[in-house]
Amino acid sequence: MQWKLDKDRAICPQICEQVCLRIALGEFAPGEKLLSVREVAVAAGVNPNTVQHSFEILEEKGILYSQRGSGWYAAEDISLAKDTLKKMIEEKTKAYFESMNALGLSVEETKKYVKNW
Amino acid sequence: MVKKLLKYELVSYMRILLPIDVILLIIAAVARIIQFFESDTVAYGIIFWSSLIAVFVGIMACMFMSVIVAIIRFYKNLFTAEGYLTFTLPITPAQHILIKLLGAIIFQLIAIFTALLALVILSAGDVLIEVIKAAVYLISRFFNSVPAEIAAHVVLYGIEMLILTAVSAVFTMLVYYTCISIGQMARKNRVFMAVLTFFGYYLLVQILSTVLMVVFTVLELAGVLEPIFTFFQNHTFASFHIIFCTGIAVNAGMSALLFFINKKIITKKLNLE
Amino acid sequence: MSELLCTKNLVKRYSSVVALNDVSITLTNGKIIGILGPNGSGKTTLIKLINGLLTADEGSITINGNTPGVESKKEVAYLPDNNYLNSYMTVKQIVDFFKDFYEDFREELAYEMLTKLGVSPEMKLKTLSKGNKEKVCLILTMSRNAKLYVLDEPIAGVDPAARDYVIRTIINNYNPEATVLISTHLISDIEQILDEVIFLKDGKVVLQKTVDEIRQEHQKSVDELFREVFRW
Repeated sequence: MQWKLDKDRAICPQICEQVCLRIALGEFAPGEKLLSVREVAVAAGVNPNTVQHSFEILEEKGILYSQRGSGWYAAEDISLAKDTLKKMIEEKTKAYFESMNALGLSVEETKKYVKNW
Repeated sequence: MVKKLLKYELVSYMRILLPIDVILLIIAAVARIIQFFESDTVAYGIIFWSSLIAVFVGIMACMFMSVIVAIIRFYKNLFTAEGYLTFTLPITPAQHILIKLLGAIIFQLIAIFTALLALVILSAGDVLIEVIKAAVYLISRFFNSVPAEIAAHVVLYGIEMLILTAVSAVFTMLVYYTCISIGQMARKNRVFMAVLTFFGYYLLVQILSTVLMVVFTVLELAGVLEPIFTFFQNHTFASFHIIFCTGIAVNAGMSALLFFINKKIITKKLNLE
Repeated sequence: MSELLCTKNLVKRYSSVVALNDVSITLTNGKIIGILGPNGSGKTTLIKLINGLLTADEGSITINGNTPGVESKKEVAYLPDNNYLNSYMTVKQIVDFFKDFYEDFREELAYEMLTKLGVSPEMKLKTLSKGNKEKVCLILTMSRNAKLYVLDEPIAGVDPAARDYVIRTIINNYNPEATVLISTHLISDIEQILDEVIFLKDGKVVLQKTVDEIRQEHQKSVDELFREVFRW
């Protein structure tokens, strides 16, 4: 999976989302060791401090935990990560309906359109 | 650190000067080989004399290049793009100047040595043996015929003259270095400014020596210098020591001054493009 | 956080032109900082002053407590924006040169990166392509375990693939305790790796802020703010 970042948004929340996505989709199993801060920074082409900060936010939320000197691990409980995934799906869907609305399709019309896709 | 930098310095000189030295030695060897085919023909005469001229041109080129390469290297390695690397090394300005100076002097010595070697090759065989024999004979005769005291003076003169030559070679290099250092302070046309500085220096030396000559002549006519002349006449041997040693002291003092000026410029007024 | 680089009221003039005018900045450890400004804004002059290649007319610079000199040069790894390496040298010779003079040079790391780039030690610098030559220079700089990295326009005039290479090489090899100072006029390409930015305009610092502050206070990306500050 690529670390795709949107230039118009702040980097930190995007890194958080991407990590949650990977955990929720099973790329990292519960309790599995994640990539190091530097590896993520290099892969995403962002500042290691930003990645570190993102990981710390995720730790506070209980999505990751850190072990001194050995790195970062996915939490055993992946429901929080899944929540984030759900939120992302909701947001994307909402954005989709909004964009279709801009093209003149109502919610019902859009649903009909998707059904026949 | 200084030793390592000196190593790189010598290698960079060697890249350019070693081929020139080798070519000179080859020319000398060829000139020597030509002599084996000695004959009365005009063709041989032309070839023989051309080969001799080639050797002497080679010797001049060898000496000249050792100075030119040192001047170019000082400018290029310190004040052009290369200076970005040179001056970000953990080395002090004084060490940089010292290393440049040491490299230049070492390669001037090598040039002199190569020139001598070329002459030895050129005359290898009977001629060389005769020359050495004659030299040994003359020297031994001289030392046998004069009192030990005078012989000692002559040996000392020799040593003093060698030191004087070395110190004035250092001074001459430092004059070139100083001109380049002053030239680089300009924003544009740095090389031109360096050349201009050199001509300014040359002019100053000419004016100073003319003024000194005039002062000297005036003093002489006024009879002020009479006691000095009398001293020289009464102490002939000592006076030459005084002249040589003064020369060494003046050159050494001027060298120290120029070294200090260079160091100050590089420390305070470095101006890389 | 200790002060790593500190300049106070720095002034540099070139005859009548004022290249830097009263520049006071302080950088701390563990940051990637961008000096941003259009061409001729004084970026390179500031960088040359930090590296002791120019001397200031007024003001002072300290790097980890030292003025630019032998001690500071041991701790600062510098990538100039010009082609400063002797082109007759082979890659191995230049690596040896760096190893000889910088105690913090990591030879193995340098060769590892050179191998990945496909540059063999026996190659002469002049036979390398322009892009590879620039990458070799970057590798040499980042192979030092320095306290301060100063990179002058590392992504100017390179294609997008090379730009990614440059960014990855920087992130991958700098010591997290160290600070990286990057000058550029191409902000959008490098914005995402910066912690802080310094905007230089006509030799003056017009802004020094963290990227987060810019996003929060101005609701803009650094690139957008830059375009606004430097609009004419």
